[in-house]
Amino acid sequence: MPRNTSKPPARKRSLRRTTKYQPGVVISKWTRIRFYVVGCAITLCFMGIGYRAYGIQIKGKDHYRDLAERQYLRTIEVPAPRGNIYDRNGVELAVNADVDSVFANPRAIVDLGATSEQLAKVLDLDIRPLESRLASPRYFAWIKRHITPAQAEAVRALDIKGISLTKEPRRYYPGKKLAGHILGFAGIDGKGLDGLELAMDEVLTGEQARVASLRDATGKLMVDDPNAVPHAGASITLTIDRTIQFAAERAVREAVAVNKAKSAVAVVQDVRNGDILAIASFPDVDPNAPGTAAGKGARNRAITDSYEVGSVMKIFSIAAALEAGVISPGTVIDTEKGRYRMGRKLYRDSFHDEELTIGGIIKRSSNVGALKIAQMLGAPRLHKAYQTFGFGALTGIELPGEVSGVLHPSKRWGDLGLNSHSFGYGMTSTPLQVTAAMAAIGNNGTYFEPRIIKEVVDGDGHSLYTRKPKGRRVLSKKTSSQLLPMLESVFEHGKVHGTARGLFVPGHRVGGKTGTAHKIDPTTHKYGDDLYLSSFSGIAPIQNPRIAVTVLVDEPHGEEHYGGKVAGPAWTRIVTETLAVLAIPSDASLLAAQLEAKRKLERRFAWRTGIDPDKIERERLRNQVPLQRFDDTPEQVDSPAMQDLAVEDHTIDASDPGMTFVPDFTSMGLAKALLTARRAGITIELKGSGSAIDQSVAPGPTRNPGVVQVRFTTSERAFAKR
Amino acid sequence: MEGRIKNEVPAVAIESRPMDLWLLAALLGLLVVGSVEVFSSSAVYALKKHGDSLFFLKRQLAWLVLGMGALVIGSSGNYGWLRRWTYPLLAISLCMLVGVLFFGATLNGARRWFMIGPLSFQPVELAKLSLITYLAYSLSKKADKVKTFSVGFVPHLLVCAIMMGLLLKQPDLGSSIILAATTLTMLFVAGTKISYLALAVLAAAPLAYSMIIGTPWRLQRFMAYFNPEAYKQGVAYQVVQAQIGIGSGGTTGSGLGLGRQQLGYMPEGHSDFIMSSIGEEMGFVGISLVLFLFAILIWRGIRAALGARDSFGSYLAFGITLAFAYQALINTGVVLGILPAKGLTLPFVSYGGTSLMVSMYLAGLLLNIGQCRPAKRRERELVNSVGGTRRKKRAVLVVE
Repeated sequence: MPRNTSKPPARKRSLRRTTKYQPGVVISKWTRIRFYVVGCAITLCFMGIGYRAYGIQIKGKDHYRDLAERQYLRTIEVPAPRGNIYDRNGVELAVNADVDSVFANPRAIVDLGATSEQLAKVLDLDIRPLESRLASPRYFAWIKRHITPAQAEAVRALDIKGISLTKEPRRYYPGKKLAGHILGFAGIDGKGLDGLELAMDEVLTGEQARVASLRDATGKLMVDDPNAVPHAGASITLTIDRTIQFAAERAVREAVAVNKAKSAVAVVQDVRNGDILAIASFPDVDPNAPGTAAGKGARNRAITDSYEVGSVMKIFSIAAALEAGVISPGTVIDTEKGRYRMGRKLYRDSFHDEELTIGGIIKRSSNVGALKIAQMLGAPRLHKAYQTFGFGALTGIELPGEVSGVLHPSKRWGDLGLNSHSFGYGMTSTPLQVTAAMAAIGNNGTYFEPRIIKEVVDGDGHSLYTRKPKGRRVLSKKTSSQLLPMLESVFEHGKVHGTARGLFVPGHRVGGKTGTAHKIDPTTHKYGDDLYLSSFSGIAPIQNPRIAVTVLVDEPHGEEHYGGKVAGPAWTRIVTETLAVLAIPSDASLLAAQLEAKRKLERRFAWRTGIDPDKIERERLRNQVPLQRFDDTPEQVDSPAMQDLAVEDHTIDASDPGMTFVPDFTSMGLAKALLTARRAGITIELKGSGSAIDQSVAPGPTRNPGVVQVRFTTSERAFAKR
Repeated sequence: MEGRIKNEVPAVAIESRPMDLWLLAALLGLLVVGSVEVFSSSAVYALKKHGDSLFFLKRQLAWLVLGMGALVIGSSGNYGWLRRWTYPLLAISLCMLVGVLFFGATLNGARRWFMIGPLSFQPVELAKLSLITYLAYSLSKKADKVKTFSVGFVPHLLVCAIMMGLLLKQPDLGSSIILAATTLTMLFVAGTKISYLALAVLAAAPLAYSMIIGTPWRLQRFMAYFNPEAYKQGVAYQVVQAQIGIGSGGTTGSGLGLGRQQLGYMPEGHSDFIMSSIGEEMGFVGISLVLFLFAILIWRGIRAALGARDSFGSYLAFGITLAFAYQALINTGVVLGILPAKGLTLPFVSYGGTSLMVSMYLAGLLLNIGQCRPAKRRERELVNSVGGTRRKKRAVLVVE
């Protein structure tokens, strides 16, 4: 059916192009007008919205940008690595290692109950506090910090929504209890809380980097600025020698065990410059786990505690009298058969000598002799001399909590005060003060303030501080040289033997002074009958003194309480090992004489002790067990870290002096790697924690390996290798 | 063939016009800006939730393809069928509005969607079309009677009120406000007395008041509108975040993909609150562009209405334009903190779905009406009975 088309298609198309737009024939004029009105009204509304956008975006830009930045920008503080602490030979005593910490985004937790249950199981936490922590409406909460690699692996395996792991630097003390008192410890946030870590916190703490980072609405941080590098803290090199420190600690620990004592202290000082080589104090502390230590009474007693040290002080009162010229070494003092009454007080000696030379008074530790000399000297001069030796004042050692001890002015000493001060009562002093004063005698009368910090090097390797010891003369050279033979005579045998008879340092001539002080019973406030402080302070070697050593054993409750018997063995042991470390040659003929003298003594008392020295000697020769030389392998292996310390040496390829042998660190722990590296004479940088999987320089002989980076991890690969 | 009767042609011959390229350009502009921003603002969220940063972009593109199809269908052929389908459409959409209250899926506490497999369909989209069709049909038919109260005013308002009632049951206040505003405006242009319209608004006022006071969350939103800071962690969170986003955009914005609000601070930054993302990443320039494109869309829509072939088409085009305009105004008003919060998408710009498809179909209708094509002629045979079984064809009637 044909369509009714009025125009042919071609015509229509041309019309289309030319036809002008003719509005609204189908609707009324007023409706058209209303269309326009509505259109205009809507356009006005859009313009209003545009104006509003203008107000917000152009005018309020800064305000809203500020608001926006406040919610998505976070400044993260990247902690600077804390400076390391080294012993005098550069062995690490305190280092940093990255460990895992678990944190939660409580808002992202899906199943609170199951999450807390799983975490509590894996991390060994109480479920109740954990649950309440996870239920908080915050975006961030620590769950547990510084967890073990195994725990981290377990948490990673759980893969719970809202629970994450992060690496945190942790302070790590490879030597565990070694020098724990000196080092103190740093808290979980890397803030020094005790010991050297506290005293030197400002130096050890680096400058943290501040990084602007994006934070999404769930609190997750997104972008790190890799350019922001924190400024590492300065590292500290101590005067402490790790090996001597270890020897001192072992000797002190054994002295406490053998004598059933409350505590014990030992200080080893280099007499020539005041360097402290070791400070041992028992009960000891492991700075890796400092929480339990305080309850046991662990503190650095060498500086925090002052004692009435007793007879050891005689050496200083006699030194003062010699120096003042009121006596000479040859002066003979009537010691009244060891009993002397002055006023209402009866002074007694251990021996009943009728008369003694000055050397004899020291050798026999005669109270009567000492007080008679003090009477000649007078209180003001004795007080002055004690002050000169550093008593009653802080030594200024770079450790927190030092006490000065009590040294009253001579006016307040009272009638008999001079007497008691002459043999070390009525005043208190710290073991460190005693050692420093003793060192002055060994150093030709020059006193050095005891110091523990040798050098401070900042993060860039610039030296901030180098110790330059300055001495001060407290005694004339003549007096100190007169005193040394007297100190040596304390070890003499024979009929008129010294108080340290039976003690000897194999192959070395040494001098010392014993002290056996009564302690005031805290309940009765009187000197108790069975409360003693046994001490021994001395110098070695006597012909050319190098070290001054003091050992104090507090409240021994064993068979012995005399300083020579209680503190003496520990003292000789420390001296023996220290002299060995310092490579001071021993005299073989002297050693033979000493052994003979010892055997003679033992033979004499064999009826009482049941020890037959000849039989022991025969057995020794038969078994040919060489004299055990001390090495720094701890015998008490109680933890993986300590086990790691016990590794064999890697020998350096001696055929080519330019070559360095790089050990294979694979699957070593942190401590083991550090020790191995030191023995191989290379520097390593620790990355991560756990066991080593990778090292930047391949094992084997290498020329100039530089700093070897060792990567540690907790991955299965490392575990598989074990 | 003799005896042909020609039916009356319109008084003025209306020539069909070419497709309104301005309208099409504005539409495409909005779609492009929208799709780009949908990707830019959803990438982080999509990666986190679906593990694919392109998750929403891919779907948006798929919906765009479908929407283009709807646009072509709407713009081609003849819209005359809508007139005949007015009442069936109205019935279907009312049934669906009732049905959704029983069988619909609940999202965020509102029962607005039919879920068909992975697709969701909001009956209100169909209701919008049917109401506009109904109004266009009724207003064009009643002509001068529109001015009367009982014939010209009450029935339209009644249909609108029923729909609004069903919508408020869902609840969907935003859509019912759009329907009400569209209805009132169409009645206004058709010539209903202003006094009647004022009466309707006044009558609705106490109802609206009781609804706001009687519903805790509406009251909160209402209060939050006046003091967003106090509710910034609660009901006003999105509004406050939207303004932070827009405000921090400044003049030219932070750049595409560089907006920070998409880090989870701005929920629905790709759907209802896409204007916030545009404001942040494209700045004042971006927002102005979107508003300008909408203005073009609306004026070309009005132009289509003015030049329609018949009054039905005219009202239909105007109604569609109004629906777009009101939805865009309310959406941008909410995002910019001028109006209390409502859950409405921005037509063509927000992330798609069936609503994008319906919108594009409506836009297609606008193009169609604007083209002013002559109605398709249909022929009807007039047959006389010439005794017995013999039938004689007398004439062919051509009707429009």
